[in-house]
Amino acid sequence: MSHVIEEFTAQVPVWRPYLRPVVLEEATPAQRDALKETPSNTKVSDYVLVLAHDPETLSVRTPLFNRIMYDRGGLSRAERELGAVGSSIVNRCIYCAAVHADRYNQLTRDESAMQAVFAAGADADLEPRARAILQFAAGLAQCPPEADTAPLRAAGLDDAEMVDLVLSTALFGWANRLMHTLGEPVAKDAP
Amino acid sequence: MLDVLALAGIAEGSPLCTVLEPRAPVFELTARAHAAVVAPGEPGGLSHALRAGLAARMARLCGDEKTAALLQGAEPHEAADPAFDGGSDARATAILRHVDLLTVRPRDATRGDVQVLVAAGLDEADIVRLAELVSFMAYLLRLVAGLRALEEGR
Repeated sequence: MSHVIEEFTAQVPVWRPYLRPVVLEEATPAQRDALKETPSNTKVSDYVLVLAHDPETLSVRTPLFNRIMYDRGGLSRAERELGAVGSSIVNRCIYCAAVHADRYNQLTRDESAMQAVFAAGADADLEPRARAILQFAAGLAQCPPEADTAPLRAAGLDDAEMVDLVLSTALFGWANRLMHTLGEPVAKDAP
Repeated sequence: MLDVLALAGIAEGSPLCTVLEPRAPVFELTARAHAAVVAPGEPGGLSHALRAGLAARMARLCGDEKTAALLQGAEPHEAADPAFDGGSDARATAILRHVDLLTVRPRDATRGDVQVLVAAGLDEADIVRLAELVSFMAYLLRLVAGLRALEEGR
């Protein structure tokens, strides 16, 4: 049994489902249809095959996810990833935090911010704009959600950027609850 | 279809409406996702009435009575009241426990919580359907809270 990862990391783990994924060869037409458009157009993962148990939701979820994270304009790609990380820290979704910290690192070509976030959480001492984004995301991820836009405006975000931050952070309220509650992160090199 | 902007109190023609215009496809997909989780063609073991009740319950757990009132419908399911715990119905009790856990403190969820649902008789598809409903609602409630804050903060 490969070991479960319990600490935040930017090394992307393997996600091991608690439920049996849909077997492609046995998939219903609705499931096959929902699996046509995969996240980031990668190969079909166990995660997506677990979600294929509910094809009606999956078929809307995937294009919605891609639009919120990748559509042009508004907030930068990296800062949307920062919203995703803020939510994932609060909800302790180690897998989501790793994937989106890794994307943030690639986009910014700097690993120091994510190292600070994994060490200190939402209070990490980042440069002012990143700090405002991370703290807003961590607040919105709470239950009930908190949303104070004044620090974002003070840090220079405009309305369109704040809309995209709300969207990317809220989206991870969704993603974290699937990824963290339907499976667990395990070490990649494990058998 | 769910009108997210109306729910967030953003009036047609308001300045924020103009800002949101390029994101119109996102709001349309959000409304379609809402339909998929509360009124799917294939509801499995989770009736439309139960789903509406659970959606309203989650809104209440997030302190959002306006969304709860909209989503619970004309004849609210008893699950819409967060004080209702399922009584002597073991399946309902397990579902409500899981909904409350994932809504309020998802970070504490473990493999054991999925096993509770299996023991209560939910199959794999119903467990995923329930997770999608709760998770979508977590998204919607945060989207609405964020948009309201943006509108009020202008």
